[in-house]
Amino acid sequence: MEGGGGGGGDRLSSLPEHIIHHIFSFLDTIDTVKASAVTRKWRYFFVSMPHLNFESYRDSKYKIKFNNFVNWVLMSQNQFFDIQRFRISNLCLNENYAFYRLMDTITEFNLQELDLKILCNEAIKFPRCILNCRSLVSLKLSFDHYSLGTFPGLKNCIFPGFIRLKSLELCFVMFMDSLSLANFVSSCPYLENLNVHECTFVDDNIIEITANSLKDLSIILPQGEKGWTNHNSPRKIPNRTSSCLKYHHKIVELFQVGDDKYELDLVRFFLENGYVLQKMRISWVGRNLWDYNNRVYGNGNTNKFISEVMKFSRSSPNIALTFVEPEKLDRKYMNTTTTGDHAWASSSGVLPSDNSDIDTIKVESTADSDIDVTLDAINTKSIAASQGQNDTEIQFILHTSTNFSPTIAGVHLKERLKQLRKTYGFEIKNAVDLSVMTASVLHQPRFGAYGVRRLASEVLCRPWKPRSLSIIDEDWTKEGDCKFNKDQIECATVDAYAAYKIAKRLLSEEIVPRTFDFISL
Amino acid sequence: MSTPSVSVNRVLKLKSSDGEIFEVKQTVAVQSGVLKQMMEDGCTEGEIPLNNVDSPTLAKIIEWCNKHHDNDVEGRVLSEEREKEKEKEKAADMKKWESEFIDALNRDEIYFLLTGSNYMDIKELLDCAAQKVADMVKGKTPEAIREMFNIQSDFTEEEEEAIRKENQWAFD
Repeated sequence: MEGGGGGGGDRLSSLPEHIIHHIFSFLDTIDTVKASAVTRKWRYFFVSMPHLNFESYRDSKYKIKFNNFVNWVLMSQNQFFDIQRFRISNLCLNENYAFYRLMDTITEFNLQELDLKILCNEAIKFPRCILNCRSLVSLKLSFDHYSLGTFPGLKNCIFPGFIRLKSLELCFVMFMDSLSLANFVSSCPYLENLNVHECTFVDDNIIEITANSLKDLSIILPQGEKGWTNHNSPRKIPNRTSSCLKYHHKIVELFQVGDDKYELDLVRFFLENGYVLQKMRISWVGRNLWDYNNRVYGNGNTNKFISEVMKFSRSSPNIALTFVEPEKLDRKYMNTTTTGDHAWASSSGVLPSDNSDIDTIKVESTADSDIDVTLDAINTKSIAASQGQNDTEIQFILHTSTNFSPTIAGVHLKERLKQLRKTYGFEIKNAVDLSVMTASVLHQPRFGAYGVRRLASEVLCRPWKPRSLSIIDEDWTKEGDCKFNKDQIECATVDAYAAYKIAKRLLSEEIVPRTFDFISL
Repeated sequence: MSTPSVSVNRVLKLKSSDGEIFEVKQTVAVQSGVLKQMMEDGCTEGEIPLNNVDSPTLAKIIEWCNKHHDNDVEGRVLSEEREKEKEKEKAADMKKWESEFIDALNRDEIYFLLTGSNYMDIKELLDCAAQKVADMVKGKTPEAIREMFNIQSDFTEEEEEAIRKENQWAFD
């Protein structure tokens, strides 16, 4: 088979049928129907597509036509093929009873994934026929931002539960009462992922989730006054007896956590009760319109929020806590720092010197666009020197801005300083062992064992890139001309920078009490 | 740059349909379902003939695999909980690279990439190329699709009229 010159002719249509079928699976259904008029070979592809994607028009006057089209496609479907995914966007459901009937047919296709974006200009009832899709593995219901769909109570109908459902995503759904959600979720024994985005409750705001196998929970709290239908009843804390938090709930995301204490309590609840949590991601948002009585922090005071959350006790031994930058927050609070920073690495030996073979490396700072730390590139010099055995190396931060007795911060510092004194006679007065300090101040004994980058990830709540494998395996202790290669210098510099950031965070924000007993050397 | 830690990196010799030999690291080649199977069966000694893939296409496929392999290595260093974070970061870069990679190809090249990645069973590449073709088809009338891919209609006029009538909505 040769590459053949231009004008290859019928090449696309001569692709093997299964590849064309595969290509068509990326198209909206309307395009596969159109393509049926291109050539005989493509005539009946649309009757056996595993994914059906429809996009309705926003204008409701087309709704009958659109219904007819969906209906026609469904009727034409080959009954021997399952429909794996059925997706409609901009579905107009106002008085669209025909659609409810239409949804009944879909249950015949052993549907696995249903994704409806519902548009309406008045509150509508949740289409109950969906509850009959017993084969569903994934359900995504998203109502319009401006008019919440109401979820019917399950009191008056027989809901057998989705016995295969693994993933449920609800956006802008208004529940008549919190029990609706609780009952709904607990009727799905295999539910693993639950996303509740800007959903509200009519009667109370208790978020209570008990699913037998839930692993991953993501909540975006409703923002602004619109989301809250009942300002009088505050968000309540879920029932503590929930067993999923104890045994299998691994990931929690809480976005748009506001500055009132009920929402903060929610964060505390998950930290305190999530015994097997591995990851928690939080984004914080300041609410201008919110009740000032309940407000804990002033507007935009993200640091305070973060340090408050850091103080909560945690039940899970290895949780990774990440603070995500809220996208909507004013950009001027973000990225104010560090892009211009330089860390200096001595390329030979240990002692920093002013000689010419100092290598300057720009520290990648995209991963830690900290809100808080403004590093003054002139006053601060991070000097990294690397020397040690295998993967032990010594990191210093010289903090030249505070007169001339620099504070040196590093992990597992005690041994290293001893070694330094022994080998080079280099005496250091102000030293802060970050391992000891973080473990003690943040009440996390395990921090004592972490390497500097892992520690930085934890303390700064931003992922730091681990060292690359090749660096770890390299021998740093070669005698003779002690020239490091560029990767080693970069590695040491980043390590030093990480140590600096940890120290800066802990010391400057008074997380460490003034009276803290730094190790004396 | 030398990577002393990886010494087990065996190299496979792939022979394209026009006889050119390409050397690929085993760790890169596992992205191909076919090559992976061969490795598991232990029959990758000597040259592996790929009779359905010509050398320009094979070069492209290997370029793709190398790029995606780089990411894998870094991913492996990360601990499990960090992996997702990293992935998200990387995903944007990778998307950009992918779209530049695929946009640089002409239609013949995409055609061979589709058949080649299908033959070698490289799902991600197949999906990427298929998405590209799907984007070209999207929103076009049957006439425009025919013109674009130089396809002759094999319907009679009456048949075509009937198809359009069958579903007016789609053709409006």
